[in-house]
Amino acid sequence: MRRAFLAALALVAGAAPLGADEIRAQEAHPVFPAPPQVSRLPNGLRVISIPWPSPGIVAYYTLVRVGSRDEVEEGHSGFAHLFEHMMFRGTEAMPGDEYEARVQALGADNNAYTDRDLTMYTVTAPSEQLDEIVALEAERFQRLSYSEEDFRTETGAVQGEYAKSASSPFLPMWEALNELAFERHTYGHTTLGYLRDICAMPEEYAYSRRFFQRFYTPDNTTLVVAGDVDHAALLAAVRSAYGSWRGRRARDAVPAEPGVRSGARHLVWNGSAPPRVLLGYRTPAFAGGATRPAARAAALRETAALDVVRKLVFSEASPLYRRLVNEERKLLRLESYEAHTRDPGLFLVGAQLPPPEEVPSVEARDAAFAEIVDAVQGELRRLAEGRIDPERFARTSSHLRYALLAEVATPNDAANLLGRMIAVGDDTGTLEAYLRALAAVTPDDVARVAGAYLVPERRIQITLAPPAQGETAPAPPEPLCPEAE
Amino acid sequence: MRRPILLLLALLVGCGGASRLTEIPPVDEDVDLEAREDAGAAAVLEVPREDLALAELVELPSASSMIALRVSFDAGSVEDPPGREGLTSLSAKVMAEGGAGTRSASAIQEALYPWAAELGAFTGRDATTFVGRVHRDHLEAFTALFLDVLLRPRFAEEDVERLRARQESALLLELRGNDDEELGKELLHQLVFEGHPYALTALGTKSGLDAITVAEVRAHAARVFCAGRMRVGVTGAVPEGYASRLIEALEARDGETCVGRRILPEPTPRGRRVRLAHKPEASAVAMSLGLATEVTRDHPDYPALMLAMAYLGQHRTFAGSLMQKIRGQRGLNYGDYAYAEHFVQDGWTRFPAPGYPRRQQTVSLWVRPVDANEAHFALRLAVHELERVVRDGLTVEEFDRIRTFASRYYALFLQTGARRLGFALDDRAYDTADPYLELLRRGWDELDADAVNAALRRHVDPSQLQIALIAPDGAALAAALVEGAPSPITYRAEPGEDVRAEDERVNVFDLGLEAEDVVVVPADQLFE
Repeated sequence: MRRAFLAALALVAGAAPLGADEIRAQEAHPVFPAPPQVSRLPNGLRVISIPWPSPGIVAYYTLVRVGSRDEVEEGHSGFAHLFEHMMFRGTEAMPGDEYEARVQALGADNNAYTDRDLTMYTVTAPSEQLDEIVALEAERFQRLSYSEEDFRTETGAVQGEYAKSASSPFLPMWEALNELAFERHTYGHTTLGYLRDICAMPEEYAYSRRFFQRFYTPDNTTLVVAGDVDHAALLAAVRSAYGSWRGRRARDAVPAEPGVRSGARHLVWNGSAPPRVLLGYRTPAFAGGATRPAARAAALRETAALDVVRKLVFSEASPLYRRLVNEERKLLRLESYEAHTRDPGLFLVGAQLPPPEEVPSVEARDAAFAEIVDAVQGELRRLAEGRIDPERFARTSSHLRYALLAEVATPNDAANLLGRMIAVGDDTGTLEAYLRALAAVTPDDVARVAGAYLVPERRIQITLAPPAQGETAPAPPEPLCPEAE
Repeated sequence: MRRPILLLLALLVGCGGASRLTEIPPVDEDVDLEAREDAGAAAVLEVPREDLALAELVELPSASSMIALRVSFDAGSVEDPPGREGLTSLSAKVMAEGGAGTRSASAIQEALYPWAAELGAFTGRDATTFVGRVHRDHLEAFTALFLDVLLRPRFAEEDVERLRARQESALLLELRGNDDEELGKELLHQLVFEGHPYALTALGTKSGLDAITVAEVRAHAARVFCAGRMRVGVTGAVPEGYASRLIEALEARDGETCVGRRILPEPTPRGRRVRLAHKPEASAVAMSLGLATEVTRDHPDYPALMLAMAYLGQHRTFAGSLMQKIRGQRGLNYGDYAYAEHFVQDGWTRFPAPGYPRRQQTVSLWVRPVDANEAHFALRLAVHELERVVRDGLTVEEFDRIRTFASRYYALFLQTGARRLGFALDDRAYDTADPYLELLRRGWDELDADAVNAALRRHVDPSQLQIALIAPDGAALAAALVEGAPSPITYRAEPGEDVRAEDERVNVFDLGLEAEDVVVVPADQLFE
């Protein structure tokens, strides 16, 4: 007799009555148990609910379509992110301490993140708290208020966020990649921002107040609520709490990028690190910036085909990975990251090399990097020439289908997926349209996008390694912001 | 940990499973790990083998089409033989990410790919867990692979070399070189558990990893990943009888090579001291503080200690008192948290990863990187706050607030089948009477502020606090800490009266450190 703990554990299991994708099949939505319900208030605020089998738990996500993309003024990189921090500082009617106490009483996972095209405020909490969440969120989004002292203090937390990231070589590589890839467009700086701009933030209180007025408006905001939620009840609560919110988003002033660039930069890392390569190929906007349905569908197909390439060429099961990582052991890691962007962005590939036994010459180090970049480019060229194994293509389609089912496992996942799609696609139906495009991708599409976009003329290459022979590493900035002393 | 009930109820491994013993790869006769221990090293005490003949099954009923499997072994890095540090983790990785059965590593990756299935392993100090995830459309084929990995690993030389290189890079380049915050946490373990097997990270040491042979990997897996140390967990819409068949097959992980679990010594209580890793290229100071505690999940004071530490700083939340004081009021860094047990974050969530049960625990504070000029002040503030809370305790109102928060918040830990399964397996590892969330909520229901405060005082003695710092100028910071001169904060904005008054005390707060309590080590020599 073996002891099995069925009875006791059933209490915490909270199992859904049906498997998520069984429900999906019944309701004919590719990811969610049923299609999301979408409403719009007269002030422009969008309210979306996603039914999700998470008894007792709700994810309440507030998407604001503002990110580092909107940091158009010189010297203000990182500001959307700083502003996200300020959103936790309370209102006049509900000062910071009281806001904190009420949030704590929710028992919520209450946080936020900022990206290039979006800022997402994420609350996950017991669904019995939904009315209180609506009240708290409606209050701060309409009537945020903070003192200059609070603002200056919070800039220290942002500086601390930079400090915590500074020991990783990814930060300077990411900064350099974007800087080199974009001459005018604001994707040229990172969401965290340049250190020099972060150090200047304490003086920007007045700018921060304007930032709130420019971008935190109902027509620029979408509520995505997933889980144990009734759409009609949600809508009634939202209408009452947010109905009087006024304001229109400032006009988009993001400069267009004039052309496509290629280039390379090597960074000498002060300290130890595996030699790293980061490649970025200029690709079209997620939905092509198009509004006409046919043009949008065509643009989404390009994006979807590029996502198929990421798996075909860079997944662990790819021939390239097998050769470079498993067989020849020329790489420790090889991956391609998803990077959907509202405006033309980058297709990203990252690799880590094993450290050389001894400090190499500059030539030997560069040769090792060149071998990897050539191997990646060679594989992409084969795709562009149409040399695509049909069986591998079919297996990739299967992979993408099952990966989506596996990755969307909680109401947070559901709200986040839909919210991000709206941020880059500017339409509440973007997710479904993208999934249709993904299902329709053919080997010809893959060959076409590989040949059109994933070519050396559109490639930025950043490499990083500890000093080679004869090189010296730059000194660390210490303290990070000397002028603050 | 106690296990009396299990001894009675659990099945003796081997009954009906003997015929499968031959499926375990034979161990090389000439490998004797014990004989290779360093001369003079203390004898490694093990639980008698006969006490291990237990395997447990945890099956969570669920209709989800995503099936999650977990096979955990009471075998963490404490099982690494002296001179072979990193061996347990490497053995698990070679099994999970190397070839198995008739397939090479590449062939397994190829097979998993169209299903988007996951198969992996991770090792903590006291446990190793193999995890699998697959849609039920492909359960049968996946299970065959999963069993190959656990029962018929190839231990091919090329897999060992590839994964050894990756583990060395993760240890020496990424952890030591590129992640000062994680480095601070590992340095803290070295200090709190000095002379104890928990001192070492599961990734091992450079010399240990370099010395490991392929034969040793094979032999070690056969010694410690044994049915007698195993728990098998299954959740999702599996066919009737699936879980029983799975554990029956896995019981073949047994044989004469299996050894008992290493018995841990008690950690040595020590007075407050600092270990400072000098890292010239750092641009800020990373801090971890802590001490050893006997309070694990099966301890009666566990719910109280969890609540007290949540009050000080629930991981990645804003309301904790450390977070409010260090970041909220003074903007000194990005975040400040407190833990009643060793904490590993689960991916991008803010929730603890299951699968790291431990027989001994640490209470710890994590102060995220602080500008070097403010490091002395920030450290004083963190210790001052800990001492205040231990001395004065939570008020009734503070207690009520944190209990309300925690009773709701902790339910978010159990949102997916895989996570519920992981916590359920940890419940079995700790042999707790109730499932995790119930254990906590029931405990919290019975507590009041006085009981929490008394438990905090029983288990957290700030005079024993161990302090690990990663700093760009180790010698200068060490000298400042010993000298104890005032370390006034430079305000970013005019603070309130109460903050200013508190800081007058914090500026001159005596950390009580003598010269011999502060040791500076070069960061680039760690884990050698």
